[in-house]
Amino acid sequence: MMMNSNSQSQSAQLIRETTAKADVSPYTSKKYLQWIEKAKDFMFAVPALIFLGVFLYYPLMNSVYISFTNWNMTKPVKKFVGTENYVKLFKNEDLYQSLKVTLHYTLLDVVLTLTIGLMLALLFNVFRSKMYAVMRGIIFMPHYISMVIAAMVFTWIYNGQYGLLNRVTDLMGFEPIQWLTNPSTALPALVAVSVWKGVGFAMMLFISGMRGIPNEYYEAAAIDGASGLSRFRYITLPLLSPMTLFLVITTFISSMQVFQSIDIMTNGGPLQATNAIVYWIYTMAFTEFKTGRASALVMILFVIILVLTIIQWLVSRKQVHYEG
Amino acid sequence: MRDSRMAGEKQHRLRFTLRTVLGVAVTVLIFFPIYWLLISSFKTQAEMRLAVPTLWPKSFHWSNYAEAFRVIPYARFFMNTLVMSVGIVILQLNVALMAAFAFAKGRFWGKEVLFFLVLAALIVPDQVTFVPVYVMMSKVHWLDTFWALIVPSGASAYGIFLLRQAFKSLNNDVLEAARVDGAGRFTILYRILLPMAKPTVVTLGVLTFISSWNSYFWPLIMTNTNNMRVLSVGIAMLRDSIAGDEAMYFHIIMAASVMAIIPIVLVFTVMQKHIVSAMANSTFK
Amino acid sequence: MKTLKWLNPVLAIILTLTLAACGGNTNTAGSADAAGKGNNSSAPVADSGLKDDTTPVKIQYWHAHGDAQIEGLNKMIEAFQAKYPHITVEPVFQGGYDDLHKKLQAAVAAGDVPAVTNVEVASLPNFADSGVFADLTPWINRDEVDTNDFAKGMLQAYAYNGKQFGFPLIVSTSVFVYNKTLLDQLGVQPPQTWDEIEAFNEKVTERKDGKTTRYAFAVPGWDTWYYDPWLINGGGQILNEEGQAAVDTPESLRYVQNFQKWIKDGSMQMGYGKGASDNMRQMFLGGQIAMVEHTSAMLKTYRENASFEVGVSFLPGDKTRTSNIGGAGIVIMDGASDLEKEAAWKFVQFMTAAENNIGWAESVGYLPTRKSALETEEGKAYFGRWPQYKAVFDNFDNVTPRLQHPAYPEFSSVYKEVIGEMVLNQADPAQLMPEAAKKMNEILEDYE
Repeated sequence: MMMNSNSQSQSAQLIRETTAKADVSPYTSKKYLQWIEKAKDFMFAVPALIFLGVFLYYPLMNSVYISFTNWNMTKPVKKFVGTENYVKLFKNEDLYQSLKVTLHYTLLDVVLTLTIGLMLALLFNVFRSKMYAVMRGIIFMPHYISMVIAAMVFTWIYNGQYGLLNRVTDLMGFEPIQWLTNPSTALPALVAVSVWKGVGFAMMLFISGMRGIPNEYYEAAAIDGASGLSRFRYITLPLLSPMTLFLVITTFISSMQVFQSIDIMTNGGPLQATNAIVYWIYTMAFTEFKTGRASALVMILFVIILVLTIIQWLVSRKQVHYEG
Repeated sequence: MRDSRMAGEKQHRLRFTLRTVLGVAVTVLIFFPIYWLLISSFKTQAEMRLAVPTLWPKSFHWSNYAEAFRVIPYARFFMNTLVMSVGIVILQLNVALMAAFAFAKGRFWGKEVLFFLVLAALIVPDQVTFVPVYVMMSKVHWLDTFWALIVPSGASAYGIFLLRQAFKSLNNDVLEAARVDGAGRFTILYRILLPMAKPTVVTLGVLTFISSWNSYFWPLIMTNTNNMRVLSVGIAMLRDSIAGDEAMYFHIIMAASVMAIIPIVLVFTVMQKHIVSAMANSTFK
Repeated sequence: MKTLKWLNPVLAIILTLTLAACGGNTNTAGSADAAGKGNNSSAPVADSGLKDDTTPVKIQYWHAHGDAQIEGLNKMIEAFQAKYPHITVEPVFQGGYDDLHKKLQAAVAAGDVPAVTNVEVASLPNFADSGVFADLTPWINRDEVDTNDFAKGMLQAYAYNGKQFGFPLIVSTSVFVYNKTLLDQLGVQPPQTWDEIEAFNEKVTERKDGKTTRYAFAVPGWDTWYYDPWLINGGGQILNEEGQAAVDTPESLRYVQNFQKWIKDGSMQMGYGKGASDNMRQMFLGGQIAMVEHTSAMLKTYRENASFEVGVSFLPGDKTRTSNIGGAGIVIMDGASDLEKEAAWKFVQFMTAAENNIGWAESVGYLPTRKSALETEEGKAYFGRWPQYKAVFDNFDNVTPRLQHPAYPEFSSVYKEVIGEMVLNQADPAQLMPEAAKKMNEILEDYE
């Protein structure tokens, strides 16, 4: 790409020289040079657009097409079935169960990760203390442990017989709980893993946001005699809002796509209690050989995430304060 | 006057102590699963299955590690993971730098629409794109090579977004000055903008490295032989391979997991200070 | 006009992308040709010109053999390559069955397949239905392989729609594993018919303060493979002759109503969900369950870990007495080249040959598949070492294929959930089954 752009700029140079020599009217020439400048600007976006086009939008368009067929990935022929896949999905009550699970998971994950992350940021935002720097490092650690490993460790911690968690409940005088095979605890158990992995990252971002808030604001507030709580309420929170929005949207999008932990810890069970959409898409395509139907589900998920993201963005735009 | 100041200082110190106590408690709690992973990797199968779990292994069973080494070609998988992660970081950063430059400072037709297309990429999960990509990789005979592991991750919407924000917050005057001096776009991007946005670039590089190092689904699909497999896939395979029954051999799986995270933990412990300050200074708006 | 100029690059991108998308479609049409070609080659007798061809050829064998089976596999491959020096077999572990199948699907979609692979028995119809596997019949005819030497049910399990797509390679079946030391002490025998179960429960179950401290037996609830035979043995059907769900008929409900009763009176343990298998095994090893239904492939683990003598009994019968086949077979991919397929066939034959059968079965911990192998000296010595398997081979012909249907993985999860509701929420299965049957029929509509 680099080569390409270089030769591009060389040819632009050449054109510039030739056009200058060929005494055309200055007006057209300027227009043309502007065009070249814009084209050069555009060239810088091209590599990214090509990667996204080839590895993302093309597969996605392919999925749109497949969603109107009954293809099963191994069959040589794809039969066009119109909107049948969509109609059948909307008639299937499992869709609503799966949506409910996904939204429930997402809501818990976003709220807990952000709230705890913010609280940790307030707690650990201490300058010039080596100890605090170390502690922040430790809290960030789960973020760089792979979900495959985290899910396996937690599977063992949740184990009904030898798990650490049941040892704790036992000490507190409760009956052992089969965390991952009980329909009412399985989903929160999955959320806990995600929150554990996510709070350190959220904390880091909030701290970086807090450090960006000019001290004068707080000094002014202190002179006005504002309490700690109201300083938090009226200065910290509003000025952190761009960061909060960023975290809400990125956490939202990744929780809507929760897959890995389900694959390792619950397989969508028990009784579909953790059958989130992406996991369902996956079993539909690979265990049930219904690639067409699964692609239709992909489209439904895509539209849902898109609409919800736009809504969040529009709603929060009014709340978010950008400095200056 | 002095008394009250001293009282205030005392109160302040007490508060700080309380805060630190709470902080330590929270840190211990969050670190605990990692500690659990670590000590489980040294326990015997019998010790894993005690009704009252032991908080410290009765004795250190290094044989778990020997067993994990026997099943997983660690050196090979480690190198594969490293090459893949570094490759993705280099490719993704360069693509994102260029795109962010175009979207932040460039002027061209359809910029907003195209940027929206870039952002919309965030909402497409891997699980829905890999079949066509797999077919593509097979057609160009890239399956089971580093190309298939690295190239499809070339563009990251996340990275482009972050860098664009960082570039946008930078003053245009410097750029204009450079342009007047006859600097080309590459010079401006790599010699001026890049150093100015260094914290964000470092942060992004680190985050990309983490997610590449830990990626599981993509390498699982794109590799077909042990020659090209990466650590996370190796661990999952180990789980399938030993009697297909993870609960029986959990201590060995834990040993393999520790081996997979040690490199990344080392890197982070060494670079901790830089990473944290880079993160604190990067633009996330 | 000036804006039109700007449209060009954008249009170019859109065009390129659209063309790429269309290109993808023609690609899949391309694999249709490949499949068509494969069908032509499966004439009744395979091209014998290739039989003695010794052009060097390398084939990939995709498998799901875990660590415990690798040594045995490597020995077999070594011996095979010594016999056919021109063939090189590259074994590639692709993870558990789920991962293996996923990779096979992707490989087929890409038209770039290994020559020979494992396939889990319940997924065979799905792949076979799409024409992914080569029909072995022409080679069987050419080389006059005596397929009658295979246990009948095991062979059938790898046939679909009248074609033999593979041979059984690692075969298991569900059996009752029991605590022989305990049952001998109590002076009871494992039940051989349903009628004997109540009396067995009576004698073996131990309760304290109304709570069970020792269950008489356990049936796994996490996989339909374990209770499909119970459904059949009770006189029921999963699908009736018209291909409609029949899980809610009185005959089909007999087993689950018994289960419900036994769970309620505390004599039967049933686990559901992930981790339930480990839980059941530990309860058995700890003496809290006297007898568990489990796959025969776990026998080795039980024998090695139990502090008591372990016995094996075939599932008790009622109207019939069957148990289903599990494990995996070995199949040839139709998309491979003729030369590769010929080499693959030789490999399939070798891996499943009678003379290697006992050694192979023992090294991987699965069941022998050949009748003649059991009669040999080697076979007798094997039974000396593994007396537990006698119960299985006394019922060799009662080991039957699972219900073969492309939608089985999907609709079986529907009645599995009813079992889950019974285990986890104490629901009444008889009430839930009609709803499940309705849902199954909706799924089946897609396959008409």
